[in-house]
Amino acid sequence: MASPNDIKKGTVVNRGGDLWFVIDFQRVAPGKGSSFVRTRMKHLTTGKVKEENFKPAENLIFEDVQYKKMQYLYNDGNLYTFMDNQTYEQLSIAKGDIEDAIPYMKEGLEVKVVIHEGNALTIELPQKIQYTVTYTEPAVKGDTASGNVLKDAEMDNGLKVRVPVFITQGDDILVNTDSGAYTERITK
Amino acid sequence: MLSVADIRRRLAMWQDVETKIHAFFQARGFVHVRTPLVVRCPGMEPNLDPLEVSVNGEPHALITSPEYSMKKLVGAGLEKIYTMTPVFRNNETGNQNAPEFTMLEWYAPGTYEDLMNETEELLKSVLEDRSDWSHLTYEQAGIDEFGDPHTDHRRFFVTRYPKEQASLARLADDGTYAERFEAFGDGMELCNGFCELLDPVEQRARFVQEQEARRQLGKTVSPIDEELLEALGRIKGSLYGNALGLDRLVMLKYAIANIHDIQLIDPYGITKRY
Repeated sequence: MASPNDIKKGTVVNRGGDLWFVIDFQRVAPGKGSSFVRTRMKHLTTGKVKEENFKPAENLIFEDVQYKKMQYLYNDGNLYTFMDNQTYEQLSIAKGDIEDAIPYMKEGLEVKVVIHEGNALTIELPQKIQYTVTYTEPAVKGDTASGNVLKDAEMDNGLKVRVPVFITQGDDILVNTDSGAYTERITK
Repeated sequence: MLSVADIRRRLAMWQDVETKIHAFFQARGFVHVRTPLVVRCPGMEPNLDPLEVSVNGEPHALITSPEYSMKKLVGAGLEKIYTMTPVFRNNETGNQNAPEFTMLEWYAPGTYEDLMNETEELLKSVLEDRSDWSHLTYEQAGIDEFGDPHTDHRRFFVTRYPKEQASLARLADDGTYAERFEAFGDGMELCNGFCELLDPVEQRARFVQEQEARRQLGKTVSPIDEELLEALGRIKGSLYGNALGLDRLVMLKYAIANIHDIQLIDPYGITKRY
């Protein structure tokens, strides 16, 4: 048995036989009221995402999972293939198991493959991924007056992101894979 | 490190929000005050973990809210005051929580309705969006045991908290509900406003209870802030106060999902690159 206070990103919680993968969590101590742990969890087989809160006193069952750092190689439309850079071992995961991650995939991307009882269940993306802007309209003069004016941009892997007006074609930027939002430009 | 363009962009969001807040309160006759960050008696709520520090060998802590200092200023005779200050809460992390964040707090004489109207006006003016906020009672908002609402409204106030959740709020004259409300925007809790309890005797009893609760949880027990109790006794009439998470207001206005994506400096000094 484990305590909700031990929940981390990537913890796999067994809820009545269903395995839920913790995507995000926060320990919430509302100024007034009792504290709890808020989680966003993804069902490891159906991919359904739900939010659930736990009181610290609850008992939970955590599943033993391994995380293996692997590099994305290629896909054949249905299977996505990853390689362990140390052992050159390869494995493939069905597209349906990593649906949310698909738009962020690019060749050579390093991810964590989640392995449970010998099966590769899903992958965990880095929180921020670097891309190169391959297309965006030039800024219009006068655009920058207020705080957060955004425009459309396309990344080197086809991902579409709204970026600030100072971003130009060829810039490298970081994108937050939780929200799909621009976070910052890489200083060259 | 962020590029200067990103720093300027993030700064512009903060400046926009802070400038509008100053303009709003100054137009209403509020004074901007300063409050200490390091104190001998931090917030006593059993579920909060103040960051503890040692000052000249004595145990102190960083504030979890400027509330005690603000009430002392009101007790000393200042009437309408506001502040924007860093506050610290250990063990709070997530997309909308960080151990250090910025709090806007304001206090003034007036009623529950005055405070709700003022808060709505403030939000409209900072967000530059004149649409009305729905006002839902605690029951209508479907608040669960964790304090989370369950409703389809995007921006709303939860009003009329049950007596059991009065916390430091006064009960309404008919005694049926507590004069406390919270505002929620895009799934984020933004603020917690009260008509403040001003009875030093009841406040002391409350602090003693909280000390006991902290002792049972094995948490540090701070002394009762006697100066605060004295100040409360000097406040005449009705006082309202509101505490609003400024980072979340910036996130709400600019539709940014992660609290770390509006900071100018990463406090942990590591920008992970992949």
